[in-house]
Amino acid sequence: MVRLETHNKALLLKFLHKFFNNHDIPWVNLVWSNYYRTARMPGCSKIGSFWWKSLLTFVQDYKGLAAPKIGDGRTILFWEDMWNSGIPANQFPELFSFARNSKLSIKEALQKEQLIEIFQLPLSVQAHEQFLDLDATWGQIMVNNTNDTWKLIWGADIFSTKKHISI
Amino acid sequence: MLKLPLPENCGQDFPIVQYADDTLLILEACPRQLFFLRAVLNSFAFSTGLKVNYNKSSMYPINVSPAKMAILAGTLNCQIGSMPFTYLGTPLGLSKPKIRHFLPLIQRIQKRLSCTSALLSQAGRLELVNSVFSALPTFLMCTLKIPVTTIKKIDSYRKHCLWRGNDVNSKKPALAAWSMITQTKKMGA
Repeated sequence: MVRLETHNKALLLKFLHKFFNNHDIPWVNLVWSNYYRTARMPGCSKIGSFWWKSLLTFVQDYKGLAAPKIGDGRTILFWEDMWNSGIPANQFPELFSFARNSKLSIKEALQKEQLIEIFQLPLSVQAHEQFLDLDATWGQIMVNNTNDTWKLIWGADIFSTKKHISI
Repeated sequence: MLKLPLPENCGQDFPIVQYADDTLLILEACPRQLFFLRAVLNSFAFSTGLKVNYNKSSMYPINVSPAKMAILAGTLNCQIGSMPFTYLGTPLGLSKPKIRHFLPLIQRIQKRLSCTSALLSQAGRLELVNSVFSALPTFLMCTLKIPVTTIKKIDSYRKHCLWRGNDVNSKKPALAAWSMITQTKKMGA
């Protein structure tokens, strides 16, 4: 028998998938332009209508199911999303403690001339080693002006409620 | 003829939602605009023979005074409603739907329970729960996050149907824990 909570969540995650992949439908454009025009990132603060707030409670669940592929970096969190075969905040915990803004997006980080600007200086020795690692991967990042895409862990572009329930 | 009621950045399309036999139209609260709308609908009815039943239609004010609303509703001869209302069965409003807005759903399930046959076997009842009781809330769950209280209520009907059939007063105990039953097939239930 199905658990109704799980079923409900699986059905609603479909909306988040459309939202993070920037599908060209009126409500997605409306939410992006109304709530996230400034540097705020989805999932970091509770804003919006009751409906959007209820969806925001599932952002963490969605991010557990999908990994981002960088386009322009607007929807991806620098520290907490898995853009670099791992979550930077977990890969570089000491370095993360020196971050100026823990909710930074990839796009904002790209606008800095040097990656070092996103940290509170001076860094400790251990953090500096981690910074060199991160800087090396950061240099290889390819950016273009298309939207970010979020790939689901079962390797499809379309969200499937059935697959989510069976996990 | 009809002005766009929303600012330009929301797109150039006229805000109209049509699905099956329900139509939702957003319009500026202005008698002239309503008059035009009526003319459009009338000419549509004239050329196709499909008339609009104004008695079945309602007008919902957004920031309009009651006095003005009465005049506007008089133009179309329709009722004045208030938010939240239902569109295609989904509660639609500005604030979070309260538990009482989910009552129609609960009542639908309740009705199904009372007409389920006591003659069905255990397997038959299981099939009934899976294909009817679990499926009824799906439509609402596609759009809204259903409150926990409502889910509990629905679950209580599902449990009742599975273990006790349609006798509401029966006190027959359940044969297995609910948490075990709601596991996926792969996990063994």
